[in-house]
Amino acid sequence: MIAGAFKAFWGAPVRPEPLAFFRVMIAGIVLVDTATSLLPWTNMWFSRGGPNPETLGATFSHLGYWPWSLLGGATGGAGSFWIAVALCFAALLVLLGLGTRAACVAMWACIVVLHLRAPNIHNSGDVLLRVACFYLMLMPAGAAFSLDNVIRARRGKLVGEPVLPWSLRLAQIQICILYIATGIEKLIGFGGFAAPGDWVGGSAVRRTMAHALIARWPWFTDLPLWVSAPASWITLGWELFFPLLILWRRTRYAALAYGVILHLGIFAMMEVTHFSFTTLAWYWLFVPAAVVMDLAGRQTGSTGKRIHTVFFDGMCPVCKKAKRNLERLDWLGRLQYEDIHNRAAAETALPAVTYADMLRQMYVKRPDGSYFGGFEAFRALAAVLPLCWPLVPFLWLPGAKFIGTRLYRFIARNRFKFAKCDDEACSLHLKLLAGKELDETVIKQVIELHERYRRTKQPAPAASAAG
Amino acid sequence: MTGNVWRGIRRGLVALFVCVHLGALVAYNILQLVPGEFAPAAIGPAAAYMKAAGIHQRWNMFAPQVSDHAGAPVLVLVFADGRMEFVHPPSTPRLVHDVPNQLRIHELPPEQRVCHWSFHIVDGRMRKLESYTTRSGPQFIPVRSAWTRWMLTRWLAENPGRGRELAFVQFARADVVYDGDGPLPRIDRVVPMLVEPVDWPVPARPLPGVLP
Repeated sequence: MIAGAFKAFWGAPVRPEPLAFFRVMIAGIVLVDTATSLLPWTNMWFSRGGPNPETLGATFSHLGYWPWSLLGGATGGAGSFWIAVALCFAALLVLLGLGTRAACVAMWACIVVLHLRAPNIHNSGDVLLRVACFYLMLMPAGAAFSLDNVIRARRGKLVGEPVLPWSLRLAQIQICILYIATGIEKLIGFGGFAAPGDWVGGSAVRRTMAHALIARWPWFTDLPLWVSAPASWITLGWELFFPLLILWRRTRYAALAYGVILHLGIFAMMEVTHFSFTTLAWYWLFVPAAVVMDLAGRQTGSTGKRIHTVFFDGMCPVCKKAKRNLERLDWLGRLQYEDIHNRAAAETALPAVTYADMLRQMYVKRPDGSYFGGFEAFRALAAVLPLCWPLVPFLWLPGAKFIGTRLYRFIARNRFKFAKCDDEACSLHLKLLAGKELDETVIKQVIELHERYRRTKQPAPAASAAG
Repeated sequence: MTGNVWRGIRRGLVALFVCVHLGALVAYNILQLVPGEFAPAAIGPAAAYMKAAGIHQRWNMFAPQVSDHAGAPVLVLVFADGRMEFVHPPSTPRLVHDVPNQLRIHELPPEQRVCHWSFHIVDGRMRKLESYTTRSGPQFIPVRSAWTRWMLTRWLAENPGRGRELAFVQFARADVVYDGDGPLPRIDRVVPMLVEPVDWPVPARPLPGVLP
């Protein structure tokens, strides 16, 4: 069993879409960061009279601080400028997925040459960016969402096929090691309960918020310990157990959701340049291809849209209003709707769901065939509605399902109290359902009501012919 | 047959690379945290590999403790008539700029720093450079010297003619402390630090109490 899992982990092909999202985000960051913070200032950063003259290279080399760079010699600002231009060009090609593998190699070489020419102006985010470029070289990152694919498809070749996972696994392990190493280093500060240190003692978050040089806002410099301590402990525990949380399917999304909120919070509170976004780019490597495809809105290997089907109660005015709102939010045209009172279609599409269940809550069926009800249906919808995307990490936090399910049930149970009907069938429908348990008798009555309703909607010519 | 051989060789090479890379990752990142004699021997080759790949980094952000102080660099201009003037880079907080032009100041009254949503693109890099200039240790003297010379060159360009009034220049570090005892960070002291004046337009002279 262990051997099988090992073989599957390293050998079973995986969908390339998450790798493509990782590629696009990393290349975008490299492009924007280089074009804004290095390219216009190469003369200042790298020239002989600037704060980083090339003579610093020799100073650092014997201490092991100065790894290789083609710019470590006599080259001044002009050489750095052209390397920065080349880096931007390579990043653009990687972003578009044109000549992806060669462009990734060029991007890695240029970023190493440029960054390591002056390591004292680069931070952890920059290193993480370089590390990402290294893994992109190894990955089949152009196997999806790339111009390479368009060209391959025009030549009649297969595109969007699953790829070997070893480079993806290495990158996943890399980010796990990053978090574990950081967590252990933080734990080292624990000097026993008499001197618990910042992280175990709980003052770490308060101190980072008060950091004189990187804190963005003055309002959090005196964060109370009852806020700082839980935040510090949760962060420490999350870092230490990150690999386990990711490995276990049930905690995976909660761990990623916490990471998204944490890193966006860090960006909002501290001036850490692109560090947060670079870290978040790595998270794509843990997201299943189905979710990535949901966000991208495309069917695997084709240009067809990935459509979600929303099953709604067509006789419930609240549900109809919710449907109208969904239609407004569906900017990408990703939703289609099915009235649950079209029972044959609904029950075929959702074979394990009873009609009573459908009356109780909304269902959503994803393009991969999986379906969800109630809060989970809302969570599945949020992933395809751009306006709801900022909500998504919060919906996956621990406890969100517990609270969300109960909140949804409360609203669903009481939806009839606030409803206003615009036809008689709707009024009868509400009268039948309001405040009642959905037992067999009620379901039977609902079905009879629908039959009557359907008969009233029969086309007139048929009625006159019968007469 | 030939295809199978090549596939086998390719798989073997990939497996070898995966093993080497994983070994280096663990050795460089995790063994550094293990005390003992074994660790340095294993870290050496791993470090060489990681540096060659441009991916070496000790992941210890805000660890093991969150620092309770930060250094802000100051260019100190001493004029021929004995006056002293501090020149601050724009990327350091206002708190540092408000320090009177005196060295060795202790226990300034607490003062609210000016926080702002900073999107000065280059600031992140400049702050990193500035943090290196204010670190103690001989290896950072060249970094500090280059920064001081660069700041001085800029000041001379912005103040034509005033260079003649200068007697010498020096580098100083303003210690910003935020130790959690109070809500506000404060400047504890401004300390002169050693620089190497090579090819400078104005000489540098050690001031009393200079740190390496």
